[in-house]
Amino acid sequence: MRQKLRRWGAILFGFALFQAPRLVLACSVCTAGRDEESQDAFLATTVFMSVLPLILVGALGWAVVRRTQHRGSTQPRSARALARSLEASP
Amino acid sequence: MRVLRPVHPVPEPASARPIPNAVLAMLIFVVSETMLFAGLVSAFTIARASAPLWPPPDQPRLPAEETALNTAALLLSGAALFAARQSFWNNARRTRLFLTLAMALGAFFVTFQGIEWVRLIGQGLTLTSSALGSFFYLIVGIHGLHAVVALGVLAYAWTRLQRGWLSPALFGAAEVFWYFVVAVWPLLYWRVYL
Repeated sequence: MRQKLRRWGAILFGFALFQAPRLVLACSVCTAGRDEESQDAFLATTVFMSVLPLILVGALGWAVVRRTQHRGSTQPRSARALARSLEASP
Repeated sequence: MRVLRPVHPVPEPASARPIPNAVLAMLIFVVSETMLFAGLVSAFTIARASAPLWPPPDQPRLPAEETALNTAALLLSGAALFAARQSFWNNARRTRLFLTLAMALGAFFVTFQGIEWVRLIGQGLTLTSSALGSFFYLIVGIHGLHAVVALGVLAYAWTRLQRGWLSPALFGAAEVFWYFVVAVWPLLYWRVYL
């Protein structure tokens, strides 16, 4: 009984896999990209939306690191260094 | 003699932080809002490319030339805010002057947009008349909403400057928001109007 169920499960899974490409066509957006202009628009916006978050987060991180380094080079005796020296003194 | 030592490490003063908390929070907010506008512009680009005729033939044309003037006003307001920042540490009067100018130019931009909307609605371009109308009012409307809120933040900063207790962190956060409103507009103008 168990083996029978497994066999039927495998057959159903294979059938579902075979049907998957047809299900994709049910997406209204996928059928829109038929002509070259709309395909180019899809490609351009996909690249734009993929790259933009990386650029934004990268720029934010870079700005924070740069400001930290700049601060470190211009203010060697920061408040924390001053506190450490006060703690070390008797 | 007994020496008193601090039990906890001495916290760094706010001025020692590389970026003030208010500015960092505003930057993170601006990053998320940039993605919102990127999504809207992408959807508009695909709708425009997929349409057989664009702009729709029975719909009025968007006033690109007049809005170019409005764009210039908004860019100038960004420049005025930059000038206000330049004199923030040494000349409060000059800062107030340029901040007022930036707010006036921003208010001009928002008012002009409102007049443009009234005219376009009168010509038949509504939210439900076509895909152009839907996208136009959605994208330009969300930008307008941001402009109004940013103007409110600038006005709050102006009030605090007037009373003599505007912190650099608050001014920086207001600046970041307004620069975002200014910087995103040319992209929207290029994609929606041209």
